[in-house]
Amino acid sequence: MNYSSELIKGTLKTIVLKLLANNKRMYGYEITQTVKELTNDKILITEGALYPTLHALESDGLVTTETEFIGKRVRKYYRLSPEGKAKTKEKVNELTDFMNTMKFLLDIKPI
Amino acid sequence: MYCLSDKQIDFILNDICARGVEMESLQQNLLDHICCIIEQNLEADGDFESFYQKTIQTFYKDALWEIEEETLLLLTFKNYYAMKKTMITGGIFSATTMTIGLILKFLHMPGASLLILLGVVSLGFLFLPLMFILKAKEKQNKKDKLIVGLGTTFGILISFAVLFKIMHWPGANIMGLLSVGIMLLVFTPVYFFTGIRNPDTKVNTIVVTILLIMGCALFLTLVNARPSATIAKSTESLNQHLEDSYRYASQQNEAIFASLTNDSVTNTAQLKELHKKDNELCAKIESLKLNLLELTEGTPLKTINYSNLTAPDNYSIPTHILFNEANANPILLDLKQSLSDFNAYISSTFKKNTAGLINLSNKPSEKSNDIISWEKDNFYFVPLTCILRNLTQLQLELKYIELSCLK
Repeated sequence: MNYSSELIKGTLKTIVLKLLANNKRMYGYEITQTVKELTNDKILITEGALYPTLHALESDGLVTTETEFIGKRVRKYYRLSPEGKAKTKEKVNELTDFMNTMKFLLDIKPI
Repeated sequence: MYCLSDKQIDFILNDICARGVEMESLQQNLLDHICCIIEQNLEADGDFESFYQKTIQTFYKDALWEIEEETLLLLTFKNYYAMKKTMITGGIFSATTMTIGLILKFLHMPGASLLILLGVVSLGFLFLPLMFILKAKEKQNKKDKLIVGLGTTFGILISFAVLFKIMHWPGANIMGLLSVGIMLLVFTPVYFFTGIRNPDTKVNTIVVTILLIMGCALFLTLVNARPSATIAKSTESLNQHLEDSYRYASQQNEAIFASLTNDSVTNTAQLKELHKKDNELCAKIESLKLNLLELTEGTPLKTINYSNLTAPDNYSIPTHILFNEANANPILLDLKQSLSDFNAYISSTFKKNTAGLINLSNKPSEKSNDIISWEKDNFYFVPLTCILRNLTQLQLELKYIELSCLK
């Protein structure tokens, strides 16, 4: 089962930030593939959602970028900035808290 | 694993550009991403062309440029709340300063102009542009965005036109006409024909269009409002009366001068000199009057007929001729100097003169503590008809002084 894009959209920033916190630097395709593998194909990040988010994170100063030439094309690597590291903790905590609230709200019993 | 050639990479990049993605960093992101997918998933002897077409289609719903649009939306979204807050703060500031400014203006208290200026500037340069950006973002189709853009342009132009009008700055009427022109000839038709087609907005569109046309008509009426006919008539007859008095006094003086005989009491040479100086000064004022009339009315004149003036209340052209910014031009300074020299000549030569001298002194402003110069008081932003009267008054005073010395 794939999760709906609405659910992923709201958590994408947190997912990307957390992935970058665990890995030193990543490029777009690598991020999509890592998420896909880690979630057993349950979360598929589309290009249309990923790149706008990466650009927004860069513009907010939460990630820095470095480019490398791979033959004729340019690969853009993303890395967490110091502010990004602090924001990651904040976002993960917020999401955890949100999930707990949702569990309570929807009366979900532990499986 | 497929190995992409440089030619194929160029092909992909050109295709991304052709599909409307303009941001270079996004182009590079997408290029690398597609290349990775192809390299990872296409067999070494696979069909590049068809695999690429299938892959790129998974990137979007309707078109590839949606990704760029989404990126730009996210990049500007973080400013959205700040912009909204600034817009509301700017709007409240503008409305408050405008209201206080107008109250002060009505009460003839100082500070009115500054507050009105601040109100209009914050409206035109802060509130309206921000409102346009935020509203245009909400609108989906280009026609609606165009309507918002035209409305904003009209709003900015009309508020500055009114500001220029009350500040007596040049260009107010042109700006006002331009804004009303945009409103009536461009905005209203676009707005009307867009709204009338939609049954939901039909009635609202008709009502708003009528209000817009009436608003513009009222504004135009205000801009072109002339003083009432009775006042215009009385000013005209007053001017003519003053002009006639001057001509009569002039003739009387000529007659007295002609009957003068050289005796022991009368110094004819001295009087001749006075007569010459007086006539020269009157002629100088007369030529200035004709000059002002000619340039304001646009037709050369030999004599002044006050009932035929087409723009008696025009003040911008005379002010432009007589002043440079707020400083008097040489033509006016020369007249003031000549009058001052005449005063000096009279007081030194004719001790028996009882008609006084030409009053060239500055006087305190009625509205503030400033001192207003003689030339500003009589000619700065003064309607043509009043300038002509002031000049005729000077001629008449010159004739009185001459008469007083002749006796």
